[in-house]
Amino acid sequence: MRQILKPIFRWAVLIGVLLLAATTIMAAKRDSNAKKDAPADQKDALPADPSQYVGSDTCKGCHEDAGKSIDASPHFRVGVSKKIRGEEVHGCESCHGPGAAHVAGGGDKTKIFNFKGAKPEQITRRCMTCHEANLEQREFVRSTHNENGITCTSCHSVHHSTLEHQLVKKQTALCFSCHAEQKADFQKPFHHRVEEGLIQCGDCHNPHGTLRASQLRSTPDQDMVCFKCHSDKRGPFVFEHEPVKVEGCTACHFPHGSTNPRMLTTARTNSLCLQCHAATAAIGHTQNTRLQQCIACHSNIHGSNLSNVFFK
Amino acid sequence: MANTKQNSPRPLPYGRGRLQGSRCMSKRYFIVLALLVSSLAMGQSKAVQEEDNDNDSDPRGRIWGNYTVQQSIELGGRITENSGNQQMYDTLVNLQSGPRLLGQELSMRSMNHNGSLFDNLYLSSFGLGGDPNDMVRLRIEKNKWYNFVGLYRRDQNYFDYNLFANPMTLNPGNLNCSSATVACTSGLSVSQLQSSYFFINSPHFQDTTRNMGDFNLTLFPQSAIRVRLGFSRNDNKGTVDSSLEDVNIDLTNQMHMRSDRWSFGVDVRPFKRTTISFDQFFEHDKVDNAYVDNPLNLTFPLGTISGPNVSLPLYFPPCTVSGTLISGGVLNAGCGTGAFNYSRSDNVRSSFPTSQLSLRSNYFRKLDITASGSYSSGYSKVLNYNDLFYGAIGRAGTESAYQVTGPASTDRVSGNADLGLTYHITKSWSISDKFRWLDWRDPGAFYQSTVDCYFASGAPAVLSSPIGNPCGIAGLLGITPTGNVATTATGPNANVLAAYSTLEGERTFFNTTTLSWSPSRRISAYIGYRYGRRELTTFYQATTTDTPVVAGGLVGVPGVPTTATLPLSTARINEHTALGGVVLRPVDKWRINADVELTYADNAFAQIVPRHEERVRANSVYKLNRWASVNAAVHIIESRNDWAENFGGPGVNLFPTGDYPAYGTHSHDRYYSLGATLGPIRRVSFDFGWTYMDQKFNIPACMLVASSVFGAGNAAPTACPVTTNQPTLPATFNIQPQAGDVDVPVIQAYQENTNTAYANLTFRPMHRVTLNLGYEITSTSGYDNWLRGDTGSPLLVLGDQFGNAPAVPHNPGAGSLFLGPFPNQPSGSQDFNWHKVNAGIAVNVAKGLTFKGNYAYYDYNEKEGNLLITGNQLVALPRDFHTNVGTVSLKYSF
Repeated sequence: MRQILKPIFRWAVLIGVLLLAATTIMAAKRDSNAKKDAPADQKDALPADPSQYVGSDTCKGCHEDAGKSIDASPHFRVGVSKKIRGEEVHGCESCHGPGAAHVAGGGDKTKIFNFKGAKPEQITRRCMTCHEANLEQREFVRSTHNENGITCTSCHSVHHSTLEHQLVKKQTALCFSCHAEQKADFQKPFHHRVEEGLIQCGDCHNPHGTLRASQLRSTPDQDMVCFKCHSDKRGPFVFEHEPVKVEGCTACHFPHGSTNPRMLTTARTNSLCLQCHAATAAIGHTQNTRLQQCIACHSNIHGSNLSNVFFK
Repeated sequence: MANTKQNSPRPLPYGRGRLQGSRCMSKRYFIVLALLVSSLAMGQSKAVQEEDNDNDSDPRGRIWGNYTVQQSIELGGRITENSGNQQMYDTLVNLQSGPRLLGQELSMRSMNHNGSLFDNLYLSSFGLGGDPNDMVRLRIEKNKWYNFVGLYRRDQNYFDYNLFANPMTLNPGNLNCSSATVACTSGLSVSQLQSSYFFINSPHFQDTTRNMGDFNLTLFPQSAIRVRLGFSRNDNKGTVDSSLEDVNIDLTNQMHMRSDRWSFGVDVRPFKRTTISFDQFFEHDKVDNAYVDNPLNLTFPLGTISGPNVSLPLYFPPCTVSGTLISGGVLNAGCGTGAFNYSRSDNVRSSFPTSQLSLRSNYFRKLDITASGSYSSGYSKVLNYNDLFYGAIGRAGTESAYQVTGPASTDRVSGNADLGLTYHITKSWSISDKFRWLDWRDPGAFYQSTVDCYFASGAPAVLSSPIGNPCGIAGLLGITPTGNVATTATGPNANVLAAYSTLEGERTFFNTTTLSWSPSRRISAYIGYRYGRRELTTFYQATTTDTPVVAGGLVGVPGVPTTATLPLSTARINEHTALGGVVLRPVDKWRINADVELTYADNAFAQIVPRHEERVRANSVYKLNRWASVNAAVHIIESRNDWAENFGGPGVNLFPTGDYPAYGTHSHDRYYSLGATLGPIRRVSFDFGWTYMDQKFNIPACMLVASSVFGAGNAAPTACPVTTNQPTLPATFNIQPQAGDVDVPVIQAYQENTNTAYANLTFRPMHRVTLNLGYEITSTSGYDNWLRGDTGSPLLVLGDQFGNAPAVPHNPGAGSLFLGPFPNQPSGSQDFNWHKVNAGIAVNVAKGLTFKGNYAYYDYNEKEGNLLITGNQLVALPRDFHTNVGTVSLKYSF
């Protein structure tokens, strides 16, 4: 039965992928035709001629609610300052681009930059015009999120959020809305206290990207972010347990949560240690109960200043 | 199961388990209070509901001068009732009874963004009053002048999982008992064994409290020159139990760790769209350890042994000395390990000054640039190291006492540079490059001075002797030697000076080039290539000089220094990774992401690290309409390391050619997730999620076994052909291979399957009432088997060391390849159900006043049942618990 179902499943997947691709390409073509009439300077993120700006008061004439929400948000600054960090700003048009054509067209939505239907790349460039100056956001263009089409407005709502950083949801819930696998990890009995509110995803990861895998943060001297809290494991030690330093904590621990104590990747310590130290099992360390718990003797396994075999 | 509250001789920490002192209120008082508040709330609710249809629980705040002010405070308390393993509940949940400040918020916002001292202030907290996790957060900002964020967090970390680090040596066989039903020759009765300390607690128990503070101030945040100041403190202290020489000597450590970090940074904007930053960090860490013999061991019925601070002297299973382990207070020095007295203290001080320069620029419209470089020169030293031991160490065979001192220090020098470039070729095409270079080294030195004392050859050690100076060395303990320790001119007592010199370092760079295509919001894709090169350097040298101590404590002539060296070696790893990803949005409501990484490395530093890895991730979110969305995700990691191929060097396999596990280490982690969020009407919302994790690996190993255990009809596998890369043990190490033992190839086969699911329903039956109901489950099962390396079939056992036939649980089958009696430990964390049920009600009693009640049920249930006594297998107390937690509170918003 399984031999019959397997090729059927494969064909179904292949046909599904082809249909999906065809649908997407057709949709993209339709979008492209619809935007052909739009002026070139309104299709990308670059600022246009300053004379094309109409000012925020004009915008608020029609978009009163949007104006109010901006005035109550951290972005009110674009309306009260002419320059922020040395860059010119133009109120609403700082983000939406010059509005003269939009106004002249009687509110024609195709004559102004609309975030709702924009390409993720365009949105990123709009926001990064100002926000690239922040250390936190400087890598966003090259981040895993941006590469996968998760742009600024996927997580932030400039007009509708009253939360800190104008997130669309509280940080943990927001991250979990895509990262279901991680939500499940934090639900396991041994876990970092994220759901309890003690720490947040952003304590270890920079959602705007870093040059490390998984968008991880690091200590100032570019060591692992884990050592920010677990600094007693950081060393440097006279006798380093090398994998801790060169492969990282995740070689032995699940970082989010685990079914195993100490968030280890295996239920028993010998199961973990023997993955590298299989040769050690060949002499002296038979796997009877007494010797299955490697850490009973090698208790300072993260590194030691006093014992080259991590006994103390 | 009875409500034992405390099922261990180890006292529960203050405030846990039993309601104690001012921190915990009387349960009766709380129940009465809850009922009163509940009645009041319901009555008020009905009365108010008819006259006011607005939701006033969250008022808009009030005006104070130029500020809009909103405040709320939530006061309440918890009642916790636990049955089952209290230590396990404290390890996993740790919500205890008592009054709490469950939440508090203060928000002040300037209406015209022009306040006098600040424009916005936000203060919030939760968990104060005794919850294991609590937090206070303060954010203040004044538009062009400053921005301050302060965060205080407290984390109480209790850990006592009794299978962790528990060698379970106290089964009858290990104590020279022929079975659990007759008295053991060790002198311990069956009932004494059952009340053993080690079966109940983890020897590596922990109860610490971490206080963390992070304070960051930015001055002139809107100006072209911006200044950043920061301070963080991480203070962690409490009890951390550990062990020495196996768990025979159980230690308790009053640990105190503090890490302080100061930072100063300045951002300058010299050109358009260009920012240059300089940051200076200084971090100072200190760790103070003070280990002593764990006096709790006195609760163990030690038979005829007596004396202060006696740890558990245990039988070492492979020991060839038969007969009495302990008799009349005499320890068989060849087999036992125990301590009359032990103490160790050390103070570690580390500092890490780091300077960093970074650049961010979009000066050229089509080119985004980021770059940074940093240099750090860290230093760590161990002060006041003093290690005193008096007893017997079975591993060394004859060691009776030692004192170790010596300074240790390590540097950490690291340099880092990175560069990120993105060039937007056209509106649809862009190319990115990410380069990261890291170079660090940790040279360390330890000058160890040891005074060693040994038992006289062939004589037993009287552990109940008064503590004295066993070596007669002035200055060690300062007391005249007693007992039967060797103090003659020919004795092996010695001063040992050892100088250790070590180095570990890494020089790494990674370069990732990515080409992205984004023709439309409907579709985008990228491909890329990452090349990484890692050079990992290690060095180890130990020079040891023995100086014998002769009669009267006089120092003899130093011996010839001996040097053990692992020469400077560098492992080089070249890593190649192909990257690809696609984002599809066929319709506005549907997004699909998929990406893949295929990695090959020509070497690996550790066997655990794969040389071949394939990662595939796919994620899809479909928003059917405003109130419904579904999502699904797949994440698959397949990896292997052909380590066995190179075990004995190029061309030398770990296993005989053609044997089953010639593929070496291989593993996979696979995750599948589904979720849905539904809110068909305003008053109802429902969300659901499910994740399945499939974790599996196979590890080849050579295992030492007694040739006799294969039994009739079971041919022994061909022995492993190589002996290189295997450690050489000292002759006194009494777990040496015995005559007739052979190394045979085996495979460790591990699998763990975990289902995790949750469902939450929120319902508002009437305007002022909100009900919620939630359920979470984590269910896991798996195996951890050892297979014959030649056939891949399970190891068969004829009988165990106790002569049990048929086998008892966890020692199944017949014909064990293992020397020891207990090939597999209890499944424990590999085989359990973990349920959490939650039901809550919130009633808006009056304007700004909300009553909340919540009931939570926690159920940890291991599937394999009670293993306390099954046949002869004395394992550990069950870890199951069932806990009810009731929380009532009043939230006042104004």
